[in-house]
Amino acid sequence: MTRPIASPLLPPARGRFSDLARSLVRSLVHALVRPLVRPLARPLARPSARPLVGPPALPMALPVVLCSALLAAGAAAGEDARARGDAIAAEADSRNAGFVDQQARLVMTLVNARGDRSVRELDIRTLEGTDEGDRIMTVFVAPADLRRTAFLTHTHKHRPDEQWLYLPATRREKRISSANRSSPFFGSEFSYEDLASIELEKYRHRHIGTESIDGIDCHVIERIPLEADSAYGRLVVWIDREHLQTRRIEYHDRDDRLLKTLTANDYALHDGRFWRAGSLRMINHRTDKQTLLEWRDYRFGTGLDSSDFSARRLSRAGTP
Amino acid sequence: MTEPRYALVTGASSGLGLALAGRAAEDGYTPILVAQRPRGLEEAAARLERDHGVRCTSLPCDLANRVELDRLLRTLEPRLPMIGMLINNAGIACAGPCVTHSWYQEQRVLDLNATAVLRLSRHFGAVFAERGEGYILNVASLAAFQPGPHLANYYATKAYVLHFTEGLAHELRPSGVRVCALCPGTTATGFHERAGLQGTSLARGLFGNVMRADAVSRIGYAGLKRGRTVIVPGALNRLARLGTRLAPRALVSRITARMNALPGGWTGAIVPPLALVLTLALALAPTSGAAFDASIGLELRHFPEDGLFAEAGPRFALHAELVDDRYVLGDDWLFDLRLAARVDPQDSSRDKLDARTLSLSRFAGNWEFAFGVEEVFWGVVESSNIVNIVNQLDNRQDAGEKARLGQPMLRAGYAGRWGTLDAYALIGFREREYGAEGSRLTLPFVTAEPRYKPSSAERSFDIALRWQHAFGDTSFALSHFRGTARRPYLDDVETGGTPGAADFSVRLVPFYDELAQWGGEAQLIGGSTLYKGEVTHRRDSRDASWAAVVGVEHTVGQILSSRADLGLIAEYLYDERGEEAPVGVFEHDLLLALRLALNDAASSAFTFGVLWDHRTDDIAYRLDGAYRLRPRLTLDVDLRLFDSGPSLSDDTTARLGELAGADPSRRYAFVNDEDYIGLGLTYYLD
Repeated sequence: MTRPIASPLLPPARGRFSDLARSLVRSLVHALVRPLVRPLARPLARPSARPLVGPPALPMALPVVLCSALLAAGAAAGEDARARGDAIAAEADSRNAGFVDQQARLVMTLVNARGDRSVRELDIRTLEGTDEGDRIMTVFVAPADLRRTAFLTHTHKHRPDEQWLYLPATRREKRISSANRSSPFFGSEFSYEDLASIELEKYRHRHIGTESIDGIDCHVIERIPLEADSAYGRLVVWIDREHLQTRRIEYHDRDDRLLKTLTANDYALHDGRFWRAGSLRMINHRTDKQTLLEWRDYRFGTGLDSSDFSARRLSRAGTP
Repeated sequence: MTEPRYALVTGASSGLGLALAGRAAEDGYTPILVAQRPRGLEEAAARLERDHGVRCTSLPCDLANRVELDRLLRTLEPRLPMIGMLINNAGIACAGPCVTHSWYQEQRVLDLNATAVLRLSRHFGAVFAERGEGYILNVASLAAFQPGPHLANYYATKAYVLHFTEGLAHELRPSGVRVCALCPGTTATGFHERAGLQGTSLARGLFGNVMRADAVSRIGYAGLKRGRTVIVPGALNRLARLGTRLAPRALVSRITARMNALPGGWTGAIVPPLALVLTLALALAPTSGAAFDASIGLELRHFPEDGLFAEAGPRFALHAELVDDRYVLGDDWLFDLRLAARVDPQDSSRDKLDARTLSLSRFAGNWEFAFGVEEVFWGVVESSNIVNIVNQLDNRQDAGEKARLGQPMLRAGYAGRWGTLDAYALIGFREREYGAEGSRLTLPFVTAEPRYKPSSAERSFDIALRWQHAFGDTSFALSHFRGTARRPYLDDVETGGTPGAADFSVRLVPFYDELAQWGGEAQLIGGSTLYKGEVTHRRDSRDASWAAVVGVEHTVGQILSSRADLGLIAEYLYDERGEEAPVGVFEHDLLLALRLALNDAASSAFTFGVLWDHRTDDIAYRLDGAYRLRPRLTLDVDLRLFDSGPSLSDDTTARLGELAGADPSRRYAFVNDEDYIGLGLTYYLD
């Protein structure tokens, strides 16, 4: 029916904001599930009972099958590379745990092939999970038309993450789906998958050598996603040998073509314990577009608790 | 001794005087009506007798004439012991530059507005003081707080009334006499027409907010009885008074001059409201210590076809928004402000200044408290959120349901393991606004003063409750509302003139019933598909019925190997009342929509939807697009097409005949010619 007087055809009020945000949403949808750019900037914080060295807690069935096959072939060297790769990944993971809560400002700059820039600014607050995964509240500060648009993610280890979106134009809180991980995050060269935390259980690692980048000695690890909905066939990760922080990642598609390269720089030690990258650059080799991330104002242990990460706080997420 | 149960009311033949006489009658007083025009007095007395069953005395008198005033006081002398209340309401104004008026005209203003008030107040003040009780209500004006070019003498007399009344109140308080100045803003009475002010911004009210004499009299009378000295009815009027106090006086003069000037172009209509918002922003900024976020926008809409009340062609409007939600009071209380202003020079029914949010809230552990004006969203579907009932629609913002007016309330919420429970006391009621002559997107006839179920008009607040909870990927909510319906019935008409003749007029009379509504919401997430539903059961004085909206929303990521995401939405809307449902309800409608997000740097996004009533074959198409041109500048596109059967007749009599027929396929014919394309530019200040 057509009744312009009192009813909406579609969502929008200021249709523009809500629609815009909502589409973004989708992206965001998955997005904030995990911390933005967590692997690098705030390397995985999962204070799990993983051994610091030794075989990582891979899913049972797979290693058994693989092991028997490989052992039969006498591929002891390959076995060793995998164990070493997993151990390094696990150690890198554990080095970044224990921050309890953290707040930071993320400045994301999109650069297209002609050099045009477009900036987004987000406030990101994280509550480290104990039994369950982390909780992350992300609020847009810029561009101005997205200001106060907020996302809340409750990460779960064994079930789908929960996500909410807040649209300030209509004061609407919306529970959203966390699927479609490979979509770009707000026009950037990062997909939601790239920004999500690295759950060790969801990858297979292999140590493939050592290499020096900008004078820093690094392990070179091959990381193969096990999940079917991943956009990638494999990732090659450079992790520095001293602090076990990620320095570079190359993303290869399922046909093993190089898609994107991420480099992380300006590492700084916060609170004497936590290494965090200050800036990151993602280059898309197909489009020559780049996305730069700059982290500012890191704060740890600020006393946030779970009530600050509840859905009803979304509308107040922009309040200091 | 006889109880002094007479109330002397001046200027009582119409408008606010008549309304105040009605309040006094309700309170048990017998009004003595004084006015210049004998005929108006007779009609007023007849009306009071009909509405309140009270027989009034009418005394024609020109209070500006000293001889007549003397005679009036002599006439009243024998009844003096029985008079217990004086309401000085009579007042006149003379529009235009003071020096262009005759001395006689301006002296009359002074004599009636000031001298007569002084004389009567003194006379009855002495009687009441000796008696040790009595009430004096002097009607001043919002004008009393500021200078007023083009009405200079009138504004000055109102300042006199205010100051005199405040002084007198202090003098008489010890003797038990209550003296009060009532300072209304623009009120719907015949005042502006008589003063030659029709068409000015003043007559249309600040941002189109014109209070009814009924409401002003209720607030004024209640304040008088409670012993208040100065009463400014209406939140917006109080805001305006604050603005005039904070702003430089020269600026106030300049703005007021614009408002009071006779219409001479659209700039006069736009400048005062925007200046007020700006003044408030500047005045409040230092006190809150927080930065405001503000945006201004230009909206351009083109209507290719003639409408019922307006011709085809382009129309434009300006809007502004001011937001401050970062101010924290003493660590605990959060201040939240969102002011929205809109000015449409071609359609004053769209002029609006609304505090969408103006509240203080506090989180305390699992508890949350808030009071003030807030905007509340309930619901899960994308088409029409039938459970969403707390806030009134801002019907003049656009043809959709998304813009809502702020609702004053007290709210308390508790978050427990069993979910979240929110309780609301909704204070006061806001009417739904429809278009007027000259508007687009109107009802088939303009609307008259609304009516209410008497029980709801008397109640001061409505209540609402909502419980929500999530189990895994399924979230639920249950809600209840009890109070004045937000959507009026529109099936009653008031006619004037002779059917078939050129002077025949028809007005729809909105009727707000009392409503009890239960609502349920559910949403299930299955991968990239969302399943949604809302259901309501409502009961009012006419009937009880069910309604539901169910739908799915599926998202396909990176369609055709691009960066874009595509959303597919299908929803069905049902209402048990079918074609009997009030205008604006979807009874058998199917919505199909596509939502495309390009995921580019400009955040480009488009939504295209079709809403189809499968019983009547009415169809509405809608396209919305958004694009960021610059970091602080966005562009919106908005296209609506309506296909709801042959257009209604331009002739009032024929149109009434068409709609009186029971043909449901004609119910929405009035929107058939309201197609438009809109472009919006919004600039964000920082």
